[in-house]
Amino acid sequence: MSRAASVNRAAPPALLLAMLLLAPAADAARSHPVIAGSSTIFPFAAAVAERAPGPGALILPMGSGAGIAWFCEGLGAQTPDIVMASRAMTPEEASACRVAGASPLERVQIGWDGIVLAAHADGALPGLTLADLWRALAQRVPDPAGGTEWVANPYRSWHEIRPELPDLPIRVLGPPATSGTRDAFAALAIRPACEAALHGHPRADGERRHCGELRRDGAWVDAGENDDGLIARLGADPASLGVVGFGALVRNAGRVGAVCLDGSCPDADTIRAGGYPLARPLYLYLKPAHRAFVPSLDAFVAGFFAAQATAEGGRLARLGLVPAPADAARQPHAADAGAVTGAGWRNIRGWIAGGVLLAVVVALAAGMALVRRPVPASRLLEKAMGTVLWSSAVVSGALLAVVLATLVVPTLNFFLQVSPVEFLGGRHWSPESAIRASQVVGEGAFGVLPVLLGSVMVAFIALAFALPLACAAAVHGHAWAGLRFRRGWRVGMRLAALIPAVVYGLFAALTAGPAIAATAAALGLGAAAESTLAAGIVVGIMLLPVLAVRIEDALAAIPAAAAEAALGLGATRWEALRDIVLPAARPAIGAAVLLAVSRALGETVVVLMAVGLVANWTLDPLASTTTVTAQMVALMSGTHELDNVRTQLPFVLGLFLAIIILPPNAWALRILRRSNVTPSPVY
Amino acid sequence: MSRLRRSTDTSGSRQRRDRTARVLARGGAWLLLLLLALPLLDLLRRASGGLEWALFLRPDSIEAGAAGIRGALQASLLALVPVILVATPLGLAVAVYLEEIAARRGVAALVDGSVRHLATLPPVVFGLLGFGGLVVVLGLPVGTPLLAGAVLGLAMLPRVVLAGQFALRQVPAFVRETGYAMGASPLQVVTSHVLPRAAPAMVGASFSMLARALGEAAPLLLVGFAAFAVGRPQAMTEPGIPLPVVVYQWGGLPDPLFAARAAAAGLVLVVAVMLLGVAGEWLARRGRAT
Repeated sequence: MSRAASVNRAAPPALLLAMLLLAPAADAARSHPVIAGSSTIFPFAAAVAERAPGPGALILPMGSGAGIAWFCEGLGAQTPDIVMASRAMTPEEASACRVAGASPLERVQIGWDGIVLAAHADGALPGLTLADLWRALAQRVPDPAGGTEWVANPYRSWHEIRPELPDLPIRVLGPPATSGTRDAFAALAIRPACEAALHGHPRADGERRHCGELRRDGAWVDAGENDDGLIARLGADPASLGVVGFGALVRNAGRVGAVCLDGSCPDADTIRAGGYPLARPLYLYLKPAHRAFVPSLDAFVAGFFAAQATAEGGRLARLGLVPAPADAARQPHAADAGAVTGAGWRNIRGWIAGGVLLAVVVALAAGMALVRRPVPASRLLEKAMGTVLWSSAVVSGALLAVVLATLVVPTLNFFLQVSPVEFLGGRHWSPESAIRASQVVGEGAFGVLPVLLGSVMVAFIALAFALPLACAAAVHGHAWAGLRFRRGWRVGMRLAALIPAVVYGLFAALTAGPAIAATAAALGLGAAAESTLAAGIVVGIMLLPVLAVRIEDALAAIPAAAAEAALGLGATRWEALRDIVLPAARPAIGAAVLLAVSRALGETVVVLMAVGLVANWTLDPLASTTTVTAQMVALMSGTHELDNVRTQLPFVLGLFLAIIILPPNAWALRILRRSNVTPSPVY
Repeated sequence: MSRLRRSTDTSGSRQRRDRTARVLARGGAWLLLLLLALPLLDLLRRASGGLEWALFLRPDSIEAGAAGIRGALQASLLALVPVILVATPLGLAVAVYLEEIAARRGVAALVDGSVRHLATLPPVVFGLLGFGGLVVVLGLPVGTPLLAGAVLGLAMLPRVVLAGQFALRQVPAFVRETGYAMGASPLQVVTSHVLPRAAPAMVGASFSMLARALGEAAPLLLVGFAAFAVGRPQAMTEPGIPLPVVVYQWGGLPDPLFAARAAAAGLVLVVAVMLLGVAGEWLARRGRAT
């Protein structure tokens, strides 16, 4: 046997060994802390972790609810060591923790927070009462026309709630249902007034379960987990209020101010002493068992109580933490009892991993059996290489099949709970729904049409903007430009197509959006800083290089002889183009446009930075909107168990997007193949 | 006589129309270039307030004054490792198999078709796969370059296959026919005849794909990279947030100094991406020349 054959025989066992080594490596313990949860605590945790010794921490601001859900999935490197909670764990969360074996836990109170209604620094809203807030934001309120009936909230302006208040539209940006701030806001600000109004009321039994539900008609806007990001959005929309933590108010002093509630304005003293009505404690929950592989856990927690950080002017104080005294802070969490093993998905994971491993072993054994057969060395090499290439094709095919499977399974689950008719036909998008049983956030509305409308409008504006320019440039390059220009042009367009979307996103958010809003204001039109128009134009700019190259490809695929014949008969270049080349190239140009449309529909980062998160059922390009892709990112909660409607929603939207995009793409690719255009690999 | 005059008249207007079309097309081309330059010029203008040498030395911080991109750069470079070592070779191998070896039926046709269509799916969809498959099922550690690289590799895989096929299709048929005429096996034809001619274009395309992967943020936002990593990653499994995600995060903060920093970091990203892109173009052209 030749050398090649022996190398071949050694390869499968080596591969097997590598597989066996890699499989557990994916599950290997880490030594860096992973901290997830409340975005209110996030800046404090980041500041503490920056100074903490040991390997660098990973801190994920995903909201208290989502953080606790992930935290309570069990013990081990796949789950966080510490969860930041801007509310105490509910009994059912604690029991989930216990069932998954994550208990016992330790709870540390790191400080206090006040939920603040932030307003633009020169906002005109004076103090409010909690009753005002309830009337403004509750989903159901007593009928203002009188009577004992309660109705869906009819108020549009603060003025309608109390005549002394200014005539400003009610629009409050706040965190989504995965957030502890949202829970606490509903519990502290909305619920008490509701309960008080229902006291002795004939309809108390029916209405009480809606107490704490926030409006779903657009007056309350889910603006993401990030407090500072929310304040940035507030700057673009001075008439609205933002529900944020006290820390965000301190960090952005000068940009925003706080609305005083029940005559008490939020500051460190009123929050600590309890005079401010929306004060709440901030906690860390940690898993003592994780100290075994993350040695720096205690050093991290101690960082919250370092004297110079919490003192006046210290790092944490500057970020807006109202610290708790260190001595009273730490206690074992009440809910901790015996461990129960085996959450379902873990077992599934084991089965899948085992199955994959088994398949690999079987395949390799079969390969080895094949290799043992006495065949000439060169044939053997041939066969082995063929097998390698074939299996890489199968592996990639399988990988891509898994793409669809991961989308399909949560989607099917989702549609067991939400009617497809509501999803595809509804015009109301307010995907807030409970992520745990005890939470009061209402049913959620899952009408995808306004979100789809946003995507389509962005794509339409982008294409309307980009297509004429790209056509002109492609025609110029095809018919008139010299060879040197054309060569440099194509390279330049290929390179320009590589410029990352975040760069366009920055341009849209910082420059194009405000510029368009200012121009519209100068023309006497009302425009949101995050307008559909701005996002569409910037996405259009981003599409220019690809579109220009693809259209030029389409023109170049038409045999030159046809145009030359026309020129020879006395046609001008424009006539040859208009009458001969363009008609022949039209299908391929159409295909290029279709592919560009699907890119615009799938564009994520630019729209996320430029377009906002509010679903508006409007065709006004100057209003703000949201898109399918932006909602996918905004709704991705980060919990690993995809067991409720909210965590499944990004997957549903992903599949929806794929289903919308794939058929036109397939059609476009067919047209391109038929018209002999090989699409250049410009993506 | 009158017919003739009319015809010269129309001919004059025909020339005029041709000139107008030409001017319009050229104007469109220049306007396109101008519009493409606009975001970059804006980036340069904004970056001037945030670009300093220390930016490259410090890790991320929640205070704009102390924030740097050292950790993000390292995370981005580490995240390219799985793309280079796994996704690119795998994708190119699939391209060779589909284009040169397999008959267009059965499994091969299925893979060919699905790759072609999946390449047109937006990258953000691959973030969902990354979450469902890599994080939940395989348990890759969140917030690490390993996961970032795996997700980016997944998103790039169909595109690499397409680019590889494109490069192979540029090799004329007679090259293969000479090989077969000499009695070479299909694999020998590929390795000794086709690949040497296609390699420069394949390598060039791979560089472009790397540049894409380096600048991609969308799928990462779905797999837990909307987070803060302290320090800089020393290994594939230590926390690190890649540069495009950091630019995205900084760009969304209200502090104007963070906006300047975001622009500066974005500029660094553009330069890095362009270096890879230009290297790819250069390699492809060099191969073509010889």
